[in-house]
Amino acid sequence: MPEPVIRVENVVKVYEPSEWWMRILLRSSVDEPVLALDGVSLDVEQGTICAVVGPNGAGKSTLFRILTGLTTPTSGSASIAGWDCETESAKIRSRVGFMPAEDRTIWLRHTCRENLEFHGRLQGLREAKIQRRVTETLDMVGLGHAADRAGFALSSGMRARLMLARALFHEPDFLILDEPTGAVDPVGSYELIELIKRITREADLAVLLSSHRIDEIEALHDRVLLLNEGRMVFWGDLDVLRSEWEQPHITIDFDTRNAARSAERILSALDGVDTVSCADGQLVLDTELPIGSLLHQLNGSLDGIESLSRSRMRLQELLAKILRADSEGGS
Amino acid sequence: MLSATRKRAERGYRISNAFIRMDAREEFNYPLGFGMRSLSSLVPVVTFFFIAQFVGTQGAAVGYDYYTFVVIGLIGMGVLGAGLQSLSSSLARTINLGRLEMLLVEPIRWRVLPFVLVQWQIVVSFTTAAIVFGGSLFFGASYRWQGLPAAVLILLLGLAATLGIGILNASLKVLSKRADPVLAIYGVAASILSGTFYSVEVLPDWIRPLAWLLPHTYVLQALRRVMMPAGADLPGPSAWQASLALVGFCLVLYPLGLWIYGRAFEYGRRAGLLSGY
Repeated sequence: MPEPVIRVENVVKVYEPSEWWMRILLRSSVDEPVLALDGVSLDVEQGTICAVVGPNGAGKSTLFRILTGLTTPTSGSASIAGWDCETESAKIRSRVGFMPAEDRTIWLRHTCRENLEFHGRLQGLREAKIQRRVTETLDMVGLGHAADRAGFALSSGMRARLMLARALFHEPDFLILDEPTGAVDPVGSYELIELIKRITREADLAVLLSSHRIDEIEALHDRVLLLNEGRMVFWGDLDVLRSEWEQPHITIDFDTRNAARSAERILSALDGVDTVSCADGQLVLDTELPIGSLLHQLNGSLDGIESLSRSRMRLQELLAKILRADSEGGS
Repeated sequence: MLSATRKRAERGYRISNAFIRMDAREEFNYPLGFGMRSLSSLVPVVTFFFIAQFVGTQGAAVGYDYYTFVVIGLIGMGVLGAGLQSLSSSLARTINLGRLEMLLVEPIRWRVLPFVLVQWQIVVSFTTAAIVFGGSLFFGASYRWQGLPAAVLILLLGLAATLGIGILNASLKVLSKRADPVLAIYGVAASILSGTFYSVEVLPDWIRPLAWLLPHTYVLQALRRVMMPAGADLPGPSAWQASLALVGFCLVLYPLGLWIYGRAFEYGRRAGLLSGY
């Protein structure tokens, strides 16, 4: 097992209400301590992608801010390549490529080339290398043709690519991508995710990526950190998540709506059976019970069944189910 | 040791170069706006020409030319204004455009930001000073030309001292995002007490000592001493004394400003305020 390069150990972050003097300077909506992260731990090895998933307010951005040194953990520790994110963030910042969620961080009046040159100079690269990397990274993200186009003239997808080029420009060892496809259309986001996967593989990067898009997480098919209200709900391989939580769906098509409704009444009363939907004569159930045992319960209504199938749960439903269970357990 | 210093110097040059290029490009992206702003700096040059005609006899009565006196005041205030305010305005723009977070994850020391963020505006302030100076020559201001190199040095010294106050103000700006409490108080005091438009000698006796607590007063005094033909006859400290006082201001304000600025950043970092706006 390779040594992890991004390591987060039992990190807790509490946002405290501002002191009275600070409230004079800036109004705050925090009136009582807010637990943004509650004992989060994870390891990311070189060459792997970890998707950080969770609803708004789950703590994803706080985790990324801790890793990039923009804020500090209340307790616990976070390190990248052995450097502590709280005390050695200056060293980390030259080895990490960061892509923020908002494309406002681009200098919109400046060209793609000028944006990258600026970043390269701040990274301390020499002019000859900067010019070489401008061509290389823009080609890498498919913006070679738009090198001299101003930021404001780029589409959302192109801006996301430019921000990715900026994150990759100084040849970092680690990438932290905060909702990289947030403003990109589905086709563009698919292409961007494929690009990130390819670059991760080719450059042997360790990547931490947050996303709201379930299809992306599925496409990455790597490890997932599921956060909910700052708590770590799941951390591990997507396959393990499925094996631990997934229940197959059983879809039964009836000849009439009434037949489907009466079957639903019978089956949903059974232990271990949840109704996913019941509409237009189709009943979808979430259960691990054998099909035979369900049919046995429907003994009197078997004639109304037109078809019956078993399918995998969609990841979206699976995550929703896990988060629901966590919220119920948490509250 | 030498190599490490050289490396640091090279790195500092690259960072400084990066900011000044971007700011210059940004400015020249709006050429008409830049041109109009530069030309507008000539408006007070013309206005004070006529005011000087009107009150000219007052200046002559005390042995100097009021027009030259006030133009030097305008030049001094313009350059010092850049030292005072440019960090605040630059920081506000960076925060509002959402670029601060991105700058803070670059491998540059946060303490470098106050200097690199103001470079371009300082260049602009010196350009404006040159325009005002040239314009005033056209309207008949008379200067001691041999005092020009000393005047530039005094302006640089004054700029450094006022930038110290600007950094103090920026410490609060990092947290408050908008308010400029230090600038508001200091700005009012400097406008009234530093003697831009009139000699500090006309201030009431009880308030005059306060004027000499402001770097502005020393800069204007030293500039007039070296640039006005009758500068040597002006009351108050000599150019050397004023310059020494400015060195003193720099020695106190810089470390204090940077220390408070560092504390403000650490507080903002802990409280998670750095990426907000």
